[in-house]
Amino acid sequence: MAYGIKVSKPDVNVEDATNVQTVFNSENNTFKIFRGDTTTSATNYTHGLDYPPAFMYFVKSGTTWTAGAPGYGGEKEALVSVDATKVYTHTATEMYIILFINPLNE
Amino acid sequence: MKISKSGFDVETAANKDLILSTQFDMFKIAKTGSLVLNLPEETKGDGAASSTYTQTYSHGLGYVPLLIPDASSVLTDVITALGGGEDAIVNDAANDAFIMASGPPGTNELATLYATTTQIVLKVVRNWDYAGTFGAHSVTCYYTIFYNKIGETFNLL
Amino acid sequence: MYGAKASKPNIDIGSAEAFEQVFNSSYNTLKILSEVTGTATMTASSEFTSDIVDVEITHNLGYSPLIMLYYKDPSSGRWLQGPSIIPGGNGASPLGYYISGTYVIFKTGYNPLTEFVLSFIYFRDSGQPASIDIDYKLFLLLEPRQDAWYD
Repeated sequence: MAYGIKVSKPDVNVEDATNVQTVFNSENNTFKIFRGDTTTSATNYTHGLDYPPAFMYFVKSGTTWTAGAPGYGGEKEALVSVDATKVYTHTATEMYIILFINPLNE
Repeated sequence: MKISKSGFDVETAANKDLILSTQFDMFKIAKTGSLVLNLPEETKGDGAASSTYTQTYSHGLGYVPLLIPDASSVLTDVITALGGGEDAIVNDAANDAFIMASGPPGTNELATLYATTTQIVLKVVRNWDYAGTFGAHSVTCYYTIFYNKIGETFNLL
Repeated sequence: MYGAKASKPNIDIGSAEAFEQVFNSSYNTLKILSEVTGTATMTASSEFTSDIVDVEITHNLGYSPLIMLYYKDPSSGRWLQGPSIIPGGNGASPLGYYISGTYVIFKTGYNPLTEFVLSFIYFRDSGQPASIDIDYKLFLLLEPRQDAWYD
């Protein structure tokens, strides 16, 4: 690593730190979270970028939250989708959606 | 503070060409660990009531944290000809598809990882649509929880 | 404390709770090792038949890393998070079951310590095209799925 920034975990010498022992390394991109929204209907909203962003979503059931869509070990339908301008939710179940600056089309 | 990707001038780089920018939030890992359920051998008849097992971790954050993996009603065990009683890792099962015409057989074992304001919970539910025996086995889920809150509305653009 | 931290807008860094900080060198963050993009093209020669395309992604990390998978639904042009299915369409699966839709999933039987195998399965229903292209993007992370941060 010629130029850049690297931060190791506590009690680990940054000079010797392996990849999994680093908190941050400017050689590796990170997920930059720019937006969080809660939805309670099947709807869509403008995300503010001009490309499809990476995202994660969480689904509420009672007082509990799970990541992603319900299903049976892979046979599950995604409940959120994005395109270059909007976020779409496919269910009225309450969800929390976070969006990343990171693009999906590059 | 911001750091651009290699080949991009940090002064003019678009947000998507930055490695890091303190304008935006990041995932902050609070805790990682494993939840393990040791399930007994269990036999029930047609249409019997389901059995539920849970294993918990108290995260102590006072709010519902972001968590991974994505594991909701993940099929961990199916008895009869498809086998049963093998130790299962939910992270693997969540990624591997069990492709059926209309969902899993009615007699099945499904795992879910979820978060509350106080706990991370691994829940396994056994269902008996028809009679059968589930073998004794373990169900393990590796989790990562973050300091980031579920439900926080914000826009940093 | 030695290190660096930054708070969210309008939050005093001196008193910011962890969830009020955007960065803190005391907390590990998810780091992207690589971003794998591509297009899987599936061809089902006639209605009610199917096709599978497998994509091998080698990482050789020696541990099973965290991943985040996305793909574009060719009919809507929207990106979805995988593994998941695009429902609709009925036909015979290559596994002999009656199923429907397009699956974007991880194949079983690979060695997660060295690779991932994406499996794209297309079941062509009446009126559906013979060939479809699925654009995908996989974020391969440095963090292992187990013990991404150890105390």
